[in-house]
Amino acid sequence: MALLNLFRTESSPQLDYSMEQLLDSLEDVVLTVTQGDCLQYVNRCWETLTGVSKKDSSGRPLTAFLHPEDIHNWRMAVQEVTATRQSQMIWIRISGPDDDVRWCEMRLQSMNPGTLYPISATLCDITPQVREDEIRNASHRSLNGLVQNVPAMLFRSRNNLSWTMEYVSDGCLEVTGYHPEQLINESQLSYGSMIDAQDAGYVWSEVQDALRHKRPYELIYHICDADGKRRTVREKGRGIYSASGQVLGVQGVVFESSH
Amino acid sequence: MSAVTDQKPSRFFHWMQSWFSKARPMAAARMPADYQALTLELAAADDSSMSQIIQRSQQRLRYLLHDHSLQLAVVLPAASGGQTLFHAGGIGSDIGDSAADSYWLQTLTLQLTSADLVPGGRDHQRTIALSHNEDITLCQLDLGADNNPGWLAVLSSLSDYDKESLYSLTQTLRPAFSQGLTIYCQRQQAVAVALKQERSAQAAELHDSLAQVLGYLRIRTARLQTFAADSENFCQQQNAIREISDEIAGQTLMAYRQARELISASRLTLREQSLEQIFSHAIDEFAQHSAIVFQLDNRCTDISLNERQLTQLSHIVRESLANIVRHSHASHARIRALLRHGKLQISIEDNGRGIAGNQARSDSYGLMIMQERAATIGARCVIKARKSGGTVVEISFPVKDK
Repeated sequence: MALLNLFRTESSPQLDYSMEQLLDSLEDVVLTVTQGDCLQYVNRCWETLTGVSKKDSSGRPLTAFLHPEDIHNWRMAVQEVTATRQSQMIWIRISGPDDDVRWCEMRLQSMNPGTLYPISATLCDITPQVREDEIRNASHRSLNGLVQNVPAMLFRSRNNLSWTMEYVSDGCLEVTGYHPEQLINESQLSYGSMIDAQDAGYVWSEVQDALRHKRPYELIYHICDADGKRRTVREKGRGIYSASGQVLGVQGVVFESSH
Repeated sequence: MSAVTDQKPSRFFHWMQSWFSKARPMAAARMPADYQALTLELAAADDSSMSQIIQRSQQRLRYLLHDHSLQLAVVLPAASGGQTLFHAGGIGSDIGDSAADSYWLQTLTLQLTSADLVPGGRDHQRTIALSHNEDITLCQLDLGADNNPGWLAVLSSLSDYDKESLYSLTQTLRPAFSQGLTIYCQRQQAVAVALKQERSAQAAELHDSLAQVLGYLRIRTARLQTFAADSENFCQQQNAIREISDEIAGQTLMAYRQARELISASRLTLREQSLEQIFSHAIDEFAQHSAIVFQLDNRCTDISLNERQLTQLSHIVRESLANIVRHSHASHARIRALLRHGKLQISIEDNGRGIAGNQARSDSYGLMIMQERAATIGARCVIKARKSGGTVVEISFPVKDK
């Protein structure tokens, strides 16, 4: 292989290892691609990643190892290298042994300033990170689905007379008739303005009393919903405190009461 | 085709516009902007919008001809062999005297069903005298070679001079109505054919599933009846009776499950046009309700599948994911689609507690139905334990590349 010969011939006389030994020792894949996306050189890590030997890989198109849904990304990145003459970074999936999929971060660039090919690239296996992200996303998605589907309004508000909402769940629509975004940060109206005038004082004093004693509270009061209808609601909540005991806000749940 | 029919709508429009701007300046402003738009509207119409289109055209004619009692109706050949009448009735409030409306529409229907009225006449138009000064102008609509002609009918009480204007206007509307309603009729026919096919498919599915089980149940209950009637040997037959009754209970449960499947299948409209969409929609749907990590590895981006295959695959994938969410106790699930040796291989696997634990549950009917679904599209469906724990559903069937 001409390229390897090049490595050998250019290896420095004072080093007691060849360039190939150096590349084979890396934990990332190093490869070069020629015209037609054909693999010209791969280091030893490529064998670990794909399960295909260096010899069997040579001359085969790189796209044969890419996940079919990622071939387009690879081609777009090559076009970008052609257009910008700058290194590009993409995430692609490589078919591993036993049809396993490995997620890789690929950085590719032209080796010579004048021509696109040969292209050199490094592949870093990021499968563990991707899997961790998937678990985190699934956990977040599950929690979000749970919170948004509870037939009640979960909220976190500031401790002021308007009860300015920092967060309200989708159950807000069912309980108040308003969409969450109408309430958050009083963008259209405040939760405080929805509370029946006769109950507002009682709600305020009960919550303040609970906050003073750092205990949870439970209240039944009336609100005026989006249709102007008077609804009886039940609220359970507690304060949010800083380490020094300062009240940061209030969080809890409001649901329509059958009484 | 008459000379008027061959007239390009746009050219005629310009002529009409200039004519009206000289004769009736106000009317020019209310002329239809584009007959092609009317054609498209008619082509895309449904029953309700058809009445609205007719009402708008009626209002336009009323305005242009200064006859505020003018009525417009369209008669189309029905699939059953009869005729369907569309008019502005029921839409808006300016319908006028309902008795008179009814009278003219009844007369119109009678005239159209009588053998006397055959296509032809001056430029495909004819007039039917109704009473006093009222008459119905009928303009024949050509709805293509496969259909009987339709009719544009106008009830009016116009002077002879205005009748000529009505004549010109209906001739202008005729190509737009003919072309638009030809496409409308073709669409209606296509819908009728699709409905028929869907009903046949449902009947076939009923025959293959529920009817088979019910047939078997009928035989077994008859046998049970015989055993029960034989009071002398009742005690000796106890074991046989128990066996049959267990079998009947199991089969009844299966029939119940199949009936539920068929009901949900008829409710489930197939939104997915491709394998990718089937996978991604199913994952989106089930991921919302669980903390399981779903991975999709679809390497079959160039597979062409027909609607029947997509429908059955959609059911199998959904059933598999539902089982994973409901029973598997898994943390990870993966859908993988590969193309190997001309076969599409789909595997849906999880790392849960495996099939052995819940094999004896009633859900095994669900698994059986999945296999039956696969068989209807010539696919093989295997449900087995995964080597490293969990369950895997493997579906494979021959496909053609795009």
